[in-house]
Amino acid sequence: MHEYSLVRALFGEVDKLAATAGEVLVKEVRVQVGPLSAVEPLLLCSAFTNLVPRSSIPDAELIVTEVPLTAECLACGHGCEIIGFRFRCPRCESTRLRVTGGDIMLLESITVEPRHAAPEILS
Amino acid sequence: MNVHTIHASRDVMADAKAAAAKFRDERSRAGTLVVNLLSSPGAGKTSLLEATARHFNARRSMAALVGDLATDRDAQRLVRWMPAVQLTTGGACHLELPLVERGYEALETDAVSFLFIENVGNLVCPSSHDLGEHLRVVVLSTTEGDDKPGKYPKAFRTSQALVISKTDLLPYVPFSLDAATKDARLIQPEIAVLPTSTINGEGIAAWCEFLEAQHICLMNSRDEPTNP
Repeated sequence: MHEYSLVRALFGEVDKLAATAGEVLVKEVRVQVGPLSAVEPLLLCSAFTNLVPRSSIPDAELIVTEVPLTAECLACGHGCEIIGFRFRCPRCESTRLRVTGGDIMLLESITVEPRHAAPEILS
Repeated sequence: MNVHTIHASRDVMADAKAAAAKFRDERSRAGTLVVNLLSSPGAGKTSLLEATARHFNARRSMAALVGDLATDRDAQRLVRWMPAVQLTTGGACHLELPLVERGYEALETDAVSFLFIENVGNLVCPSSHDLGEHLRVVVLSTTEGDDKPGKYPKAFRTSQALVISKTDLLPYVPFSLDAATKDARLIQPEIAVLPTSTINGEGIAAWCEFLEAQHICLMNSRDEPTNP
């Protein structure tokens, strides 16, 4: 159960990304995980929910998208999805494959809004 | 400025991986091969290291960092053979680089040929954490069953060698070396498979030769000029 350490790493990456936009509130964090990410989405969400109130992004909601495990064949260049962790090119049967997705936890995007909203004009 | 989305497409572990690469480079320069041993609890990682030290018989310098949830029992066993520091995780299921770096400082050893990191017994979480190793080895004992590679794909996909331990028990357990090898190679076609027994000594020499070959590769790559 290492989702808590992944969430802490995620907060660090979100902070860095948010800082590029100036004074903002992070409202939404989108991540992608796949079959070789070694991340269970439910446990990830639960770790996020537990840790986020005391983080630098207390208003953020986590959206997890599950992506397939994909690879590129280094022999014939074919791009394919890896089913059942069988690392063999379906076109040329080569076992020299480079994983292109689904093996890490990827921070896809964050949605932010200005920290100090413009004062509303009272009518 | 209104609500807007910033796209990143960044590995959450990118910083941790960069720090691990730095640790690896430092050990490379010192001529130390870092070996991260993964297995489920009781597969025989500590026994393998004892047998390795017995085989090398002080002809190779080595040290060990030993991950454990609660005790220093493994380090006490190993310290008879090599400098060893226990990394007690206080219940955490895997080692991370800061613990390894702190343990390495505590070793206070000159550059050794082999630095072994014995991970916490667990085939899931440790597979996601780069500890700055050159070589990741997964140890699978014959009592665990030959179907384990497919059940723990990340541990096997990210390892360069599979040590099958406790081969002395093969007559008594339903474990096929061929089936385990085939299953592991579906996931990691390049994986080296090394059957061993620390009880009767089978395969220990081959395992140590494998380590020596990896160390030679490291030293040769160190001598090659690096691109600016």
